[in-house]
Amino acid sequence: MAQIYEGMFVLDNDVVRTGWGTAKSHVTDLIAKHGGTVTTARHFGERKLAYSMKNRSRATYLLCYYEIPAGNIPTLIRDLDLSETVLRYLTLAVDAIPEGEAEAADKETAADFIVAEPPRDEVGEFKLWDEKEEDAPRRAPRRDAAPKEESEDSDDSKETVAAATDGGDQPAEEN
Amino acid sequence: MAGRPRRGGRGDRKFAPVKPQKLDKPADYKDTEFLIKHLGPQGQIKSRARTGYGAQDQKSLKKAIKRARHLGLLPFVG
Repeated sequence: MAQIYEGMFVLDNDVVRTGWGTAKSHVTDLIAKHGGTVTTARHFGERKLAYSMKNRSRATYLLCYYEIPAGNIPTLIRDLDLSETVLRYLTLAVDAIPEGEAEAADKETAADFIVAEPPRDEVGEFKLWDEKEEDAPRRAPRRDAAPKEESEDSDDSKETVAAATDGGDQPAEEN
Repeated sequence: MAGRPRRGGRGDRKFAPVKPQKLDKPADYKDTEFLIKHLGPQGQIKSRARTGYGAQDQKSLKKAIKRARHLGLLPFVG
């Protein structure tokens, strides 16, 4: 029995724009070419990359579970490295296909399944966490720095107010 | 004559001790929401002292974060 592998492929959005089926079949055909059988393959989201890869800052992810003889892996890897559609990939040997994966992949076979056209590369910004989120790590303010800044600001504002009032009074006295 | 400043005392602690934590299953690189909780402000992996995990769980967390970084799901430097 051939080993089950989990493959995550980062696909070029230019190819995905021509059609999700084309992009997906590019990877599945490669696996099949090297004697593998794809059990499940599904869209794993389109997102802004944390850093640019091959001058692309957005990409689409494809998650595959497939069986392939271990001896054919190096040739598959070579083809993936040469491919311009696959920006990056990760292959892991797994014991079994996770629960719910087959159902998620089956949704793609439905007639009403549509993958939206990926936005342009410049659109959006990668955010590690939402700033409003409470879990977001923050640097603790220095014990002495934070209160001082506040007091300085408040002093400044008082001074400006005082200066404004002085300035307002002076012309009145001269007149 | 003043001696060398004492190190390793209570005064050197920069954060409160963390309660020991345990993972139900090995960390998954696809679960970025979970992994992000274990990153510092610049995207660095938090130490065991900060996460509270044992050696095995911390190792699985480290692996998952590094796999996610390879795929561009998480940054190397935030």
